[in-house]
Amino acid sequence: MITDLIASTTVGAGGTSSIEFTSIPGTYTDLVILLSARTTAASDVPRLRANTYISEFNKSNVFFSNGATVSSFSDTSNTYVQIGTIPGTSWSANSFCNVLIQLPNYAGTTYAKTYKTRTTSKDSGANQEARLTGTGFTSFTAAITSVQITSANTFAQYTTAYLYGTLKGSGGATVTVV
Amino acid sequence: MALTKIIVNCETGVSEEIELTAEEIAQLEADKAQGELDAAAAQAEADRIEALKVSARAKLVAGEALTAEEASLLIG
Repeated sequence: MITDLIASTTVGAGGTSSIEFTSIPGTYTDLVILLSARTTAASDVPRLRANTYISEFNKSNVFFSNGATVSSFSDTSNTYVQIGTIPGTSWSANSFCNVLIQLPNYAGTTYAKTYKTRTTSKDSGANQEARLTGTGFTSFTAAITSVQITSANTFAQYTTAYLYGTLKGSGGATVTVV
Repeated sequence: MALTKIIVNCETGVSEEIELTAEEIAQLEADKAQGELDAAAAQAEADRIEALKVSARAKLVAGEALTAEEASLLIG
């Protein structure tokens, strides 16, 4: 498997409410987004959208833990993908979360898009943590050419976002389904 | 301070920061309201499960009958 860095950005001193990657090339197999984030609010739950679609995220199942309890729920809000809790002013000053978002077969046009997210937040000082794993599907089949990660508040300075493209490998045995 | 978004054009490599439109700000507000509802629902669910576990453990120790949901929580 080959992984290429397509684009990246780092949030400056003024913060920002949204990070968008546009004109994504359709030459890869899957997309992977790595986010290291913090908010200027007490905490936040960022949202992921693709191609600026607002109401095509049908359903996701989310499993989350705050360290003491593991819970799950089905998110049928269908307007965005919840990424998970990111630290803010109610967490220690240097606490950032790690977010991994996978968008397989993003350039295909036959099947509805699916996605997977994993987020880990751990307070470097106080005993505070959050973990979220989510998977879901959408109702749109169009190729993904842009992604938007939005904060209901503001992403803090030094928040970073990296967009990677992965290519399936070559070689290996060929499997024929009959 | 105006709300902004960072746009990174993957084709050109150009990155720019621009102000959000009124429509985008309205969408952010709607997202925020929905997020608060989602967080409340998630916390309520977590609290409900924790309460069920406490109840199930107590019943198990006391030799009392568990509900089907309590039993499922303990042993799947």
